[in-house]
Amino acid sequence: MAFDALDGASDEALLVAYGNGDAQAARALTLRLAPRLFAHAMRMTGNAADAEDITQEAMLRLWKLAPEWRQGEARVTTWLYRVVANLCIDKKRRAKEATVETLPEQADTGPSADTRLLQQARQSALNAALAHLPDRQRQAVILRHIDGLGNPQIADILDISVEAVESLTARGKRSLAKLLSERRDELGYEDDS
Amino acid sequence: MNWGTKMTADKSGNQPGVDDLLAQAQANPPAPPDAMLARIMADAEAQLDRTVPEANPTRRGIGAIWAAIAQIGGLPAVTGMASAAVAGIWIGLASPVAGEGLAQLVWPQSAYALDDLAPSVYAFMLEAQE
Repeated sequence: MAFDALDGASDEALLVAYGNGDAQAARALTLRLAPRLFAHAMRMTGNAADAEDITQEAMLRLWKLAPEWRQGEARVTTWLYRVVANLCIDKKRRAKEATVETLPEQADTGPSADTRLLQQARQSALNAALAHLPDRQRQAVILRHIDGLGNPQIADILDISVEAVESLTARGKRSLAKLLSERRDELGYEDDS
Repeated sequence: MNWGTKMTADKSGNQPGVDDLLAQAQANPPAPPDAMLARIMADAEAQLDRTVPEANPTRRGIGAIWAAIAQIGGLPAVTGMASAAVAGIWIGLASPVAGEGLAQLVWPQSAYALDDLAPSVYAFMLEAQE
């Protein structure tokens, strides 16, 4: 498959092409999916090294599965998010006292240094608050509100109903609001009451 | 203060809340390390080397047959084996009695006729008819 043609191909078509020996398809899949998986694993674990290991392991499992993959049976992203979720939970079980790192944000040349520092502090606070949520709530909130997936796909990933996803994300956001409100002064917010 | 759908003012007059923080996080994902991407692509290529024959069972089957032929000496060996097989079938179908003169030369004192040891297919067919 020509590399130009890969941009328009679905993840599933690329995986089948890779399974048939097309190395360029693997490259396109890596550049398309690995950054999303890494970001998700980073939010889930709060640790860059763990997120790297998890992303690489999930992609390796995908490469191994490729020859047996049949188009139409499942979405590649759904399968990958499931694998990443399981790997994150395994990792957390092995290292219960995980430290929450400040996530490396992309370079932002727009705001002033003060504003940028404040935004970084707020994002750190968000990550710390996410780390306090139960695993399923955290995963649902990240998938819905940071990864931007739809509720039906999240339901497939978590193997629950769409209603259960809505409930998980709503409870997750309420918990986040409560956790963050405790740090409002530190994060430069004023009470509007 | 409300961090949910009802927004809260910050000191600069903006209206950030949980939704805004999540949106900011979505807009600024952590950058994937280049070394990790390189390792993933290297994994893909290494895995491809191992799995492509399995991904193409037709190629694997033909390849295995040619490999076996090469092990026994290539096409000449196959030709020789085919000739021997045809000759064996012919000998089996023909009456072994015709070879008895040769057998007498090799084993002159044998108590058995060659036909006793290797009856022809015609003898089997006759027995089946009876």
